[in-house]
Amino acid sequence: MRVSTIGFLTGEAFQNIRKNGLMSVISVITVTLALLIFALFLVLAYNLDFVIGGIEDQVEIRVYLKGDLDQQGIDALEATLNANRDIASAQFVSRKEAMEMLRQQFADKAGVLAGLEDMNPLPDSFAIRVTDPETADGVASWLEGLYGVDEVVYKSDVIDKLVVLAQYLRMGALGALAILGVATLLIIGNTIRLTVHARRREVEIMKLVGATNAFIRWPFVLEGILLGVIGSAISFGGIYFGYQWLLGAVARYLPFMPLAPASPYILHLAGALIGTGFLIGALGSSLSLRRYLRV
Amino acid sequence: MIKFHGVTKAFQHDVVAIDNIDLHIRKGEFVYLVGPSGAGKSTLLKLIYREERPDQGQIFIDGEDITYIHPADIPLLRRDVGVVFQDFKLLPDRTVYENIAFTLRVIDTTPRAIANRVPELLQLVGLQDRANHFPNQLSGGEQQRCALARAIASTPLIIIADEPTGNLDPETSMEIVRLLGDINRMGATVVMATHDKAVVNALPRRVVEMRSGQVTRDDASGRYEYAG
Repeated sequence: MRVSTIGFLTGEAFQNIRKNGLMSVISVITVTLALLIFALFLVLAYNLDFVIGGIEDQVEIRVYLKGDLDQQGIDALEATLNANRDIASAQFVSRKEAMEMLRQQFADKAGVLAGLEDMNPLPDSFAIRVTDPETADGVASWLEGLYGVDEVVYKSDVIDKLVVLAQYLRMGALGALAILGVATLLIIGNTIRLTVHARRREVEIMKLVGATNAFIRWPFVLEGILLGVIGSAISFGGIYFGYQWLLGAVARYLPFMPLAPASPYILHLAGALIGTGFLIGALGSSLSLRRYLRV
Repeated sequence: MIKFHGVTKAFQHDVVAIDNIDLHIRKGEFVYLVGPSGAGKSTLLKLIYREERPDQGQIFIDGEDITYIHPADIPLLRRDVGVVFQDFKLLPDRTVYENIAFTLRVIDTTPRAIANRVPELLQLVGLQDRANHFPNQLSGGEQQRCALARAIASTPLIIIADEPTGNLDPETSMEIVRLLGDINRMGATVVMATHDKAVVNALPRRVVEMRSGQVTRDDASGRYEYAG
């Protein structure tokens, strides 16, 4: 296709948008709102991931030892642990110390632990911190294979629950996108239908003088894409500046609250939003043309 | 140039618009298509530029069978067949120049070729002084000239005119038909459906008369006389 032709078709598409002012504005607003809600879910999920990451950084791996391991075995194990470069620190917690901690935790509900003074059920253990949280999985499985190790625990239930919650948020984002996406498709489709109606004379003449179907369709498809992309760009702008503002406000008034930094995530979000806007626009206009533009 | 071979076309409720027509129009001919309203003239014309499909029979344009033409090839056929109507069908929000340029634009003509071709066409139909007027600023005759310029913009082999003088006064009608004659002399085959007795009798040419979907008369140089 010639550059001049692309220019002509794009010009026609912009003309359509201008002539169809009110519906174009409504379409753009719909795309904007739909994608804003989609983006909010994604931002929440992202922040949850960030929180989870923070907790994982602090989390320790707990290695419970077999009851029949003697002091020699424990010393050997400690030496092995300290020799591993991925392990930042390995602190031995004897079963007595463990019981003491438990007793402190339940200080006000002493009854719970009544009767356990003489037969402590807790095993000896090591509390381990890794140098890099990324290696935690590998370290944990390595630990499991060591002599004298009974059980390795390093992911708390809280994290598991947060991970599930983040999963739900992502599903929520997709669900919102699916529902609002259909509404947006319909609105864009309707806008294109109105444009087709407004331009039926042009279309009739284009057909009559031998314009190809592709040539007739392009300005309408382009119009839909432009509406989608403009709407998504506005929603991205809203999210971007809104989030910057939130980061500033939180840093000032709630400094203890963990909020994920904007970059590089914001770039992925921009890609996702504008890509989605593009697709919704192209699809909405194509579906509409299939019904209303018989070429 | 145009050949109908046993062509039949019916619309819903079995209204037969074209009933087993055989017709041959040679290259360079100028043919009047006459007959009462509802005789099937417009349908016959629509079959030529493939606005309608035949139910039976075959249609050849410039030697090519368009009966089973692929939909993607219809635009190419239409570039070989220019069409004008009684109601001109100009775009009201574009000037004379833009109306003609638009036609060239949508069949993918380069801007340079358009800049050359449009003044040429305006000159040909005598609208060089009206280039920047909008259709509602023109007389009926001028609007039809503009429509004619648009129809011949792609230098088609065939010009189809469906009642081109239906909205024009007698004098202007004669001008338009003379202009069609000029275009015919430049090589285009012209088929013109008309009710205009005065025009047909003043500028006699081949007359094909239709009634109830059939060709009832075909005179090489006839008069408009179906009424009596």
